Amino acid sequence: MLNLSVDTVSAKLCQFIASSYLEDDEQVAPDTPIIKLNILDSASIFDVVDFIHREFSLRLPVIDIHPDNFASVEVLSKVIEHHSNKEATL
Amino acid sequence: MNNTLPTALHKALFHWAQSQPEQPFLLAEPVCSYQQAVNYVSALATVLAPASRTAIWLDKNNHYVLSILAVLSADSAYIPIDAKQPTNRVELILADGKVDTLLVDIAHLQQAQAVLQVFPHIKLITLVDTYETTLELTQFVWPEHINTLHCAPISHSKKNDLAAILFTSGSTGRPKGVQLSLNNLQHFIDWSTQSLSLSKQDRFLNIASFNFDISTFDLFSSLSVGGSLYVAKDDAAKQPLNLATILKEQKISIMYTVPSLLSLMNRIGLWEQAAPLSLTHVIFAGEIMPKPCLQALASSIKNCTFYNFYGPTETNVCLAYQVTDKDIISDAPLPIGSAIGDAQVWMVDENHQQVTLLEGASGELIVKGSCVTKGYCHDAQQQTSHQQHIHHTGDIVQFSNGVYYFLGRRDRMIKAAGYRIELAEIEAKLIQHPDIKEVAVHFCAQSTKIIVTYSPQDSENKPSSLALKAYCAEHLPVYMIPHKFKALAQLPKNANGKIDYPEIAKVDN
Repeated sequence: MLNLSVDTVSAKLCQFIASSYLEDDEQVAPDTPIIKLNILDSASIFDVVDFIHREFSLRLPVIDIHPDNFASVEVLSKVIEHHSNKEATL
Repeated sequence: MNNTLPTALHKALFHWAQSQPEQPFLLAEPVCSYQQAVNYVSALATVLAPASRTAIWLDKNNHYVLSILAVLSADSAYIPIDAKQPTNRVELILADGKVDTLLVDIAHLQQAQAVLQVFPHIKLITLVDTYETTLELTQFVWPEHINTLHCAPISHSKKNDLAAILFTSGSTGRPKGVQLSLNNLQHFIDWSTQSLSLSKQDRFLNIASFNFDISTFDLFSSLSVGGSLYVAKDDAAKQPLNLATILKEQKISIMYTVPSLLSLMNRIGLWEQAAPLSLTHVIFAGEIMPKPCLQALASSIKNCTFYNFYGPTETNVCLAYQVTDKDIISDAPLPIGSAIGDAQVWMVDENHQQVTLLEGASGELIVKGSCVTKGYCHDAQQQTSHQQHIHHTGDIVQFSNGVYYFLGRRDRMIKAAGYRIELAEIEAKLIQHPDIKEVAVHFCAQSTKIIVTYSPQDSENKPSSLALKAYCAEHLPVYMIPHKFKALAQLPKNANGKIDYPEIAKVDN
């Protein structure tokens, strides 16, 4: 995993989700409920998983690809941080 | 047509409990045997009686199945409510379904109590693990009953032929309650168990919500043959990787779902993770099966027969097709098949005249037979043709080589991820938004996105897409929340001054 701050991860995710699934002028905030508002659905979750792999060189473990972990960018960033910390201590 | 009340369906539970009491009926933990199911169902049916229309609002698990069977055993019809349904919609369902009893779990109790302020006559029953002394309401403490022997069904003859009311999207803004009779269900289950040669060795996977007609196959076919059923949790479709574990560990042989989920399973390489597979029948319905998806399935799942079932909720399944090797090689569209059981189908043209059944002929599909349901529960939505067991599907089909092919719709109903959605229902909610003057909702088939075009009341101060999504989330199920919102000063109109939908679609696409 690349050495990035949680804020940077969060900003990149917000930007990716807004540009992929919302209109040009719309922004996603870290606490926007992206699953509840149908911004992400079961298929687009896997687009985000691919983005995380591409952008942060992190493969999310299968067990963590759960809608609860994609409830908001804030929640997802914490999951990513958790895995990057685990990698760092290895 | 068979006018006698069926004796099987839910009563098959009592039959199998006598001949194979220890056999597992429900496979998800905690596993529930046929005898335990009878104990639970008989005790709950006693608490429910004399209900006549019972809404069930639970998280999706074994309790949901046992509750449905208890409701039917109590001579009541079941009205399933999806666990994540917005409360506004639950109120419409309780009113239009003329519900007299509501069965909830602890997770939905608070919401149910709030909703019942408007419906004080509805009896509330709560399923609990242990008796809650603080709750002043009727509780069914299921662990007290599941191992207490019961051997007879509560009601020997069901006087009420209404089995279920399934609510689907309605074009007027109100969900439509489709009334399924015991006879409708029995006809489908008899046909499917025989045609697919199902047996008590079969292990069924239920993914669909119980408010989706696909679930009737999972529940009643498995019960009819004395097989076993794994009830996947609510978010199974959103977390397909879990399905790999279930398919593998539970040795699932029968699976019935929508093509969009199968497509997602292909994409994430689920079949390889689920190996070795025990699947012998994979059935799909609810939307068009894309050929590349079918080809990928066929190469991943060996020794398995694929079926394409077709039918709006009003007919449950009325046509079916067994996929051949030739279909898999060819890139031509997959047929929706031919009529099942005693169903008769024909086509009519725009002037409602019957179309001669010639090669290549097309028209709106009309269905007649035991599969056609009793019509809608709301009087205003009632259609007289349903009394003659005839349903006008609104689907345009083509006849070729002895089978039918789906071409499209003649109205504004769409299917997205297998969900049936009336675009007018979304419009009816959005037009009530104080900042919206005019609204048109369009579905882009290519991107599978629901797109809203609207003109704001105040062009200087238009609401954000997120605010509109949040508003929709309060009134509509999550799959009906539009993906995109576009504001225009004025919506395009045709020569009659009506909203020009083709023009809007052109702009959106």
